[in-house]
Order: sequence, then C-alpha cells, then structure tokens
Amino acid sequence: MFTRFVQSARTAVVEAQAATRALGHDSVTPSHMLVGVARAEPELTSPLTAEQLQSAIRAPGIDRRALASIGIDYDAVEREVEASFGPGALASGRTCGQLAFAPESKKALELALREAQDREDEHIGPEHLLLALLDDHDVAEVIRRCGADPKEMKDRL
Amino acid sequence: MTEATKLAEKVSSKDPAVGLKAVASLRTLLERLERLQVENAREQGWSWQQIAAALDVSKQAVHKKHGGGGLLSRRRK
Repeated sequence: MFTRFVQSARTAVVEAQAATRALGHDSVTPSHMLVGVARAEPELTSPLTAEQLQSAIRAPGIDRRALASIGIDYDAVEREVEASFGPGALASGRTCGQLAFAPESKKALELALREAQDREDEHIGPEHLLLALLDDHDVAEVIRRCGADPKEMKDRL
Repeated sequence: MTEATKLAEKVSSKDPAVGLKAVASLRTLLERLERLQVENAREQGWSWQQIAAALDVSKQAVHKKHGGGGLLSRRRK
C-alpha cells in the first residue's frame, strides 16, 4: 500500500500515529491523519497548524450533542475527571497497546491512491492524502472548529 | 448553559438517531470510566475481589476484562 507514497506522505502517516498516541486515543482516524499531513507538509493546511488541528480533535465514540439530549454534559464530566486524574484521563484507550487504523482512515488511504491515479500522478503525496481526508465528515468538523473552511482548503489543492 | 446543551434543544428527543447515538456514547463513556477507576483502584492496592464487589460483578468478570495478564501489564509504563 505505501510503496507509492512519497517520503512526506509516509511522514504524515507516522505523524498521524504520533498524534493519536499523544492524545491517548487507540485508533488512527482521518482527523489524526489530518494532523499528520499538517506536520509533514505545513503549507497544505496553512494557516491552520498541526497543534491547532490536534487540539480540535474530540475523543472518538462520544457524541456530545447526543449526550446533551439526555441531560449529560460531557464537557463537565471530562472536566471533573481530569481534575482528579489529570489531562487526557478520559481519552479512549490503552496508549501502550497497538494502534489500529480506523476503517475510515483505510478508506482515505485508498481514496488518496485513486486521487493520484485520476490526476495521473505516479506517486502519492500528502496533497492526495489531504484531498481524500477532506471528504471525511469529522475532518471537516475539526477544520471548522479551528475557524477555517474545509471546502476552501480543498479548492486550493 | 453549554454549547452542547443549546445544540441539543434543537433536536427532537424522539429522533432515534440522536437517542441511539446517546446510548452508544454513554456506553463508550462508561467503558472509559470503568477502565480509569479500575486502574486507579489497582494502583491504590485494591484486590480484584474488592474491585469486583464495588462494581457488583464477579471477580472472574472483572479480572478477565481488566486483568490482562502478563503481556499487557508488561507493556504498561
């Protein structure tokens, strides 16, 4: 799969795993891949930095809006738990274990391959990866949370 | 009122998509809280027996779920 990836695209994947670990999550989602791309090729996501994007990622598996609909304020729970157990205490998983790529991330990698084929590019670069990632709902949400427009980012590519 | 609560007001609570998502999110939250609390109890020297009693489950169940055995504990920092 990665044989046609240029070096910076490989770096993006490695950085995505590092971001996932740093956040204490156990699955590399497209949002983590977005952070990886921003680390590997900062101008692609500019003016948004990798740090900004990383801090906009929410723990997977928790839908705050849905919880709020039954009267649970997840932010309040997180605040209380972190006050006792430290930052990231409620993050998803065993950070010491093996990281898995989320199915959406695998899909994005395949999509990146297709983007490259469509453009008749021989190699897969971080720009193809980003193009594929921008189709992901959560990725768009992370970008919006940082105050940018995912569509605009896509148009620039 | 938080942003999330305000958002929720716009959503009908009869919408199954929201209701089911809430259940799934609650389950995720529960699992994370349980892991955190069990780890904390172990670090404070609680036995599996004590933890199981507090969680109202069998000792076997809690050990199977959180015990992990040699491999996991070795991997831990």
